[in-house]
Amino acid sequence: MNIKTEVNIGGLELQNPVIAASGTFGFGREYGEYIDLNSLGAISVKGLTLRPREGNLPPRIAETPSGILNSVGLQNPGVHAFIQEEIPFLRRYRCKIIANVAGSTVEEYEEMAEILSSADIDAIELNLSCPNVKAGCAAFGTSAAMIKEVTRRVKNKYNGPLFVKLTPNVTSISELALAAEEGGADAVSLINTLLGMAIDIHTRRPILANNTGGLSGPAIKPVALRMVNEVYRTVKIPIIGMGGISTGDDAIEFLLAGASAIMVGTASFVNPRACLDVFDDVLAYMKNYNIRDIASLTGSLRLN
Amino acid sequence: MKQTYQCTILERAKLSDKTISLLIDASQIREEILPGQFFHINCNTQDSYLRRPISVCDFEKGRLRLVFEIRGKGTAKLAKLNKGDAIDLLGPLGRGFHLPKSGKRAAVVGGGIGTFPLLFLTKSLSFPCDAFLGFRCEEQIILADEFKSLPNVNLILCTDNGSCGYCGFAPSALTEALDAGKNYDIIYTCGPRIMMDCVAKTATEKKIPCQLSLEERMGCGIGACLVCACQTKEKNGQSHMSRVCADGPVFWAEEIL
Repeated sequence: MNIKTEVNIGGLELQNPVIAASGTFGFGREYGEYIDLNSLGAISVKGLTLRPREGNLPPRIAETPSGILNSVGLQNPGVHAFIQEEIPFLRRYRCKIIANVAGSTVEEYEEMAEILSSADIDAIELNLSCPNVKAGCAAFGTSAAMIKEVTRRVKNKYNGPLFVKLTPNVTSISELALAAEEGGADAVSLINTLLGMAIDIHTRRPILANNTGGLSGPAIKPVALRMVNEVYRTVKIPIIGMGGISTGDDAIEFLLAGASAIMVGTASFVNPRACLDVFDDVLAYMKNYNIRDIASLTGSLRLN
Repeated sequence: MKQTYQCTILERAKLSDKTISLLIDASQIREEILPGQFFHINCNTQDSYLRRPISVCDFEKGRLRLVFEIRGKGTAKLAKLNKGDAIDLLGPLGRGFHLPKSGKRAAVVGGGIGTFPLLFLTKSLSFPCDAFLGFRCEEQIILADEFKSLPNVNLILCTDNGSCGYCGFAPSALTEALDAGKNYDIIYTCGPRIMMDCVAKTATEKKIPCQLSLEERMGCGIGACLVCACQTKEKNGQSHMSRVCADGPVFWAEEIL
């Protein structure tokens, strides 16, 4: 049986819809020792800032039921080092390169978009929703007006596919998705982590040095699915769904809810092959139900 | 390609109320396993989603020994594994101890659970060492017989309350040995951070190369997720966030801030 796995996400052609999620996969080097990066649809790289960032003090991770809290605080080598050192490495592989960018002002987002417009990348994902940095991007991510404005201004500087990553830490995520669409986004990706806290009862202090962090892993999957479905029924642009995907069944749920592609994040920490295992299981599901085109699954959920 | 391994447990032993030793058939692991490295172990529970990093206590003829303390839900689950059970290992991971080709004498200074990886280290040294191993009290001493059985190792047990061996902390025993004229080519330390900082300070004052094995809460274990950060010093003196899992867990004293 011939199975079509190619998808088009707002102009980005992917050989398959499985993408390694930003912040969980570095720049692919480490996981490249465990899996063939050629098999991935794309890699969304570690969140980039204009200048290098050292990030937050440790502890930066706390384990919670079926998940983790992290507060790395955007440690990264900066957009210039990414272009010089990481793109040449990633270009050796077939998978597409999505540059995840985070700024602290609208001008910084514009400047990075301008720098990246002459770099060899395939798409930009605007990180408007990092919960772990004090000044900046979370503030953009919670206001519809700001999302529309940043998206519009970045779109003016960068011609390639532009994705906007949305935070779930808001009252109405579909309102934000609509703002991104109106600003000219080619797709939205959701959800980023849910803001949370874990406490050490012996020291009576939060486990994370930053006090709070972003929750990810299987614990957030039901919330993510609901939000993907809500956004799917609100906007016309494609959705990249994520939040706790660790198996093929999880990925199928996101596709049914309305995602056109999916991202695998925290699951890679437990199973370095998670991205590939998810895709293999998706293929098995398609064969089982005689589904020839993966895109036909998107949004095929029937609500009760 | 690197991979995770499903290995079989050959033996399980309880070394104290909270300390478990697992002997594992690691014959399928082709990568070299070095002292100071660790394995990232899948606990397979919803309560403990992440793997647990556990240092190599010993490795010989394809048999890997991991000794760990039951600290929380993850290690409690691992402690329930028995002979014949499968265990899911990711590794060997990290940068291990530097093993000089020649030397006269080394010192290893360990405290509590930090003494476990020092067994494989002392076995791997090509020259003799003094092993200063500290525990709270006599009842908590673990693996002493194994250290004693090594021909190259002069074991100096230390207890906080003096119930066995030297009365006091292991770094004090090291300082006394140095003051009494002992000389070491290299000093290794693993244990509570405050103890390691003491040892590193002494070594730096005496201009003896010194390595510390750090511990931090980890995510991926392979250097991608950047959660197990520690502040290190670059050659130009600037501070930098290094990854305990991939840049360490073993660092030179002068690298640590």
